[in-house]
Amino acid sequence: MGDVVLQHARTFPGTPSDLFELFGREGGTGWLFSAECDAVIPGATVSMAFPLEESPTGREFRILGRLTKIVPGRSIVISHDQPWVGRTRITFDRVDQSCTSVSVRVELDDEGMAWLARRLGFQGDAGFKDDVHRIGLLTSKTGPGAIFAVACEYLARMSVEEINADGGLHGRRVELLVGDDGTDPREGVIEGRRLIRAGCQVIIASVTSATFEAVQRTLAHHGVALVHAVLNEGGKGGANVLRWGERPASQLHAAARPFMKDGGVRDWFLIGNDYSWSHGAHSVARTVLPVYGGRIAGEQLVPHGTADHSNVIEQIQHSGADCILSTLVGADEVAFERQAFSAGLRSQTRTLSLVLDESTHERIGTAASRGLWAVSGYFEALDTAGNHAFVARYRGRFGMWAPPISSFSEAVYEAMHLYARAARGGDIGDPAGAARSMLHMSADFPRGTVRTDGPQLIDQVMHLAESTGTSLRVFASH
Amino acid sequence: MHEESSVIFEALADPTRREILRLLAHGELAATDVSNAVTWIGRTAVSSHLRILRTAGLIDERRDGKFRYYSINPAPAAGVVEFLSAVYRSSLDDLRVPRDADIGEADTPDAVSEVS
Repeated sequence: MGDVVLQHARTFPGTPSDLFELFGREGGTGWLFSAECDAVIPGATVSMAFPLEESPTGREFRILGRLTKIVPGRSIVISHDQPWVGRTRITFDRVDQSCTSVSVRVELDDEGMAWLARRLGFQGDAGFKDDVHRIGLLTSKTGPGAIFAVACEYLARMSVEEINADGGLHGRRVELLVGDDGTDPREGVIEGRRLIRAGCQVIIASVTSATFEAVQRTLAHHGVALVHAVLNEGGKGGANVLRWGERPASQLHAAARPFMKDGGVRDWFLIGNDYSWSHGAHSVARTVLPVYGGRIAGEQLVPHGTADHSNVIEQIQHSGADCILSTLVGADEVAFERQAFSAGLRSQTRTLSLVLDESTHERIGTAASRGLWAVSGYFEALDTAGNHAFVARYRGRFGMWAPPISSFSEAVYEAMHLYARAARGGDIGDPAGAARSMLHMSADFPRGTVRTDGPQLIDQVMHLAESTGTSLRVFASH
Repeated sequence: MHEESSVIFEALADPTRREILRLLAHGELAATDVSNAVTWIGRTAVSSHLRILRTAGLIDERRDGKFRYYSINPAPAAGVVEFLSAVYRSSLDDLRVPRDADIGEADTPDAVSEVS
């Protein structure tokens, strides 16, 4: 790994152990992009703020990864998954009694460089090639959504490798192109347009509803098939547009009764982000929860990127609610759950989160995530032979430290395979035909049997899971 | 500090200049078109941003009569590597030991290498 290697070294006063101890310390040094991690142990997640100042159209971004090798007082290795795949190795070498040389070695791949070049303003095109069948993945490599999208690219790559091992599509090799919406609809449209210019026949999207709606409004007329693979609140789509993934209604119908019964709770506070997904999900909650005896005690919507949730936590404490429905996404969900835990909210309420996937879960941390509840069509801990084989294949391909699989990333894997099957049954270069075939399909996947029924429905079993702190364990299935 | 990389770093570190690069990524533009698109600053400021980008070798200038046209320099890879390298170097410089100030540059020179 590593097409580009950068290395810097500098000498500082102190022993190697003194300097090692400063890594990841809150408020201590702020070095290495203010690296944040709960513990300096292998496997711990790390988030670093890359200092690209706020621009009129861009956003500063975080590098997401995890510690993969630690030699106390000697070296730290961080593997990165977002927005680029790479590795940072920090070594501490004693120069003399009072000084230590700290060296930082950075490796990243060509795709990471191409991504950074685009982010800096060099809008490079992939060029048009007619000897390959291109599939686009539109995902969030930066912004609040980057956390839940972290394994999507790996699983998109794995499915493309499997499709190619199966002979490709119409005798052509399948090539994956990745677009990054930065969790911003305008950026999503720019990136979607780039994927279409490069000849992608289909765009599989693992993005927020806000981005997906902007993309389908602006780009559907280009004739490519657009698939929203991940959970969403639904909504009208034109021809060639498919919206799969879990719906809040099926999540809540599956979760409401066992969740309330097990906890002996019924008064709900709804907290979400102020955009179409949470609006839709909360409106469904107001209808579905009362069916099972629930009552709505309060509601609050906060903007994307909210870091301080103290006001809403106080509101919840005063609302009389004994349970919380969170529809917050990504980094916002992480911040809220950590702060709710610190404020002692967990002892007074229990929380059901509709967008608590495994990546978000591990970034909330062991202590703050224990006792949270999630509901979705897939969990990595799903105890079936099909899923065990899938997880083993993924770990074999991307390593033991690859980010956890979630319903989001597994759904991308499924959508790629369903598209491949539809495209194989049709003519070369007929995305509209492939989109029509995708309206009625049934297949067995790691999550179990799924069946598409029209542009808006994917039929699947839903699972309610409780966090043990280290994993999301299935409690009931519906 | 390498003089050339410092110029590229300064050029890319500004959000307005990155926005100008994004505009030019779609094709050559006249200076007036750039000014019209970058509405949050005045024409003089836009000219100065274009000059900085040109000096750093990130964009090319073409003159036709009294008009000036700008386009992306097609070889940005070196600029991106220099930028990334400078950002990491400055982050390493931010390592502050609580008791004393650091004692300066290491004897090992900074290395930037590309491995194929």
